[in-house]
Amino acid sequence: MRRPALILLLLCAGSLALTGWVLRQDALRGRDQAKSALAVLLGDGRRLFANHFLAKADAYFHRGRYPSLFEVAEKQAGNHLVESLGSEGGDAGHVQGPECDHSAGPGEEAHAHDEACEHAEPSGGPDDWIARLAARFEPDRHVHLEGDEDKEMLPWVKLAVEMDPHNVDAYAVGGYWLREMGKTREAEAFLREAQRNNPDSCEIYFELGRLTELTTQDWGKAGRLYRLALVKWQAANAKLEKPDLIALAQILGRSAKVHEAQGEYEAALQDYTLLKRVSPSPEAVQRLIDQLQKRMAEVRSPKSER
Amino acid sequence: MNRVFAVAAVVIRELIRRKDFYVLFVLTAAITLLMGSITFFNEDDIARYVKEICLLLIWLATLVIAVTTAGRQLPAEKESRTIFPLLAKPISRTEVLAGKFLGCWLAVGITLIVFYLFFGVISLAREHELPLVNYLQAVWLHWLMLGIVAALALLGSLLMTPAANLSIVILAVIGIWTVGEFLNRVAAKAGGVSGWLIYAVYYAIPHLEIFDIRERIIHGWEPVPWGAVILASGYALVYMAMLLAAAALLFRRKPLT
Repeated sequence: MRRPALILLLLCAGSLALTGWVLRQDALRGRDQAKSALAVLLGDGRRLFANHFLAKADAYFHRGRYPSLFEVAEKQAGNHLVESLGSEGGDAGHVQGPECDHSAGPGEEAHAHDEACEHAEPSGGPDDWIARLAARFEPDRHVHLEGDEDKEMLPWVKLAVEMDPHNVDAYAVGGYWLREMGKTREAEAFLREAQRNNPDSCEIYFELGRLTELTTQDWGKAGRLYRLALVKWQAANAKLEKPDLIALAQILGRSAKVHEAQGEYEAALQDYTLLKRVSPSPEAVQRLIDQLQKRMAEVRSPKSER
Repeated sequence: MNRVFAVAAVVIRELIRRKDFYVLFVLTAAITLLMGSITFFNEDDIARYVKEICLLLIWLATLVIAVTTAGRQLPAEKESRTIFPLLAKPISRTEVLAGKFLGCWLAVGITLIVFYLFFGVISLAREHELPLVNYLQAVWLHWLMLGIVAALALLGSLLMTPAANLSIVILAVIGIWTVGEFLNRVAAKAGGVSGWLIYAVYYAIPHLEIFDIRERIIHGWEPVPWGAVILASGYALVYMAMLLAAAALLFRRKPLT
């Protein structure tokens, strides 16, 4: 009995050690992710790991309190980090709880992931004494990482893209959090790597646009990146039965803001008009259109007075 | 009681002499240090993923130590025929079994302390804090869980061959640990007779996930309420007693030849 157990243990430990060594070698060499040694080692199975690691990053964001596989299936919920990312660019598509405050409107970053949102809450399930006892040993409140704790998510995001360099969600999430943490150089390098591995992804161009907008305030460059994102979105969604309207709304919302910042009100109005068609809260977009039209009128009136 | 302790002391000495623990400890330490040496996005002081990997390795290593140590006690005695001179002494079969269990449980406790000391050092080096109460609770609950596992392996060793016992107990424990807590949800969904059967399994199995407070340790939550710890301790002791009583019943009737 002793020998088979030892062999089994050595095999498990050996494979774990090998994985660690391969990861380290890749990290040290800074290799092209698409050709990572892990791809050779794990084959297509690495995609499963990638999704697991991204979910792990989400669990870390909630300090370990996270719905299980069973609860997720019951609620049919997605990855909350990806959802919170969706909320950033606008109202569109954000899976929201009844008390979510979406008053900030599209383009505002006030609501990244409101604590009142119920979507990150593990569902109740049957109530028996064992479940009640077990619950007392688990993290019992919905809280998020605070301050510089955000960095704790990064290893899982990095591991997710190491496992699957075509996991656009993982790149977008990583880019977003690196930007939020003020690590703009790392964010740009990460997103450029994402762009190399996923040249047709609109999400990556969108994230690059956000990074440019927030760090360099180079509206022209940001606008060009949003336009590229729009082109990529159209190419990817043109023939789809259910196009990704969340991504479209995000791109249009930011593109409109950039146009506004550059004083290109007509182009901004055009983007807002398109956004109104795809946004789940067109009233909020209409308010923005009204504000913009008011500003346009103000700009025109001094000219006419002259 | 002295006879029980004498048997237990032999089991502890045996664990110290064997290489299993040292191999597992060195591997756990090596993998943890290797993973900890990786820098992500130029952030040197990321701690939680290292803690997570270290704790997972500790859980797996101690599970294997508990099952292999407890599972081999009686078959090894039988195989080497040392059980006969042992039982020729003024000691009952129940006392032998109790001594074997106590020895395994204490030996696993010693390994746990060593593993958690290493974890504490890693945690202190990375986070510069040592929440002692949380760690004591983690060790205590982990030890209780391993007590149930050791009792289960001891019982299994009387029913199955050593290899089958090792595989089945490890699979059962990992199964309970990972999906045991969700059986009530499955039962509620299944409904009917199958629902009742799943409920019966749900209430019959020892819920090992209760003793797993890794998430609280990794993410720096406050300690578990002591009332809950006392309840969990009672729950574990009841299961250990039931499994050992069943094992004693079997061992008393089992022919040794």
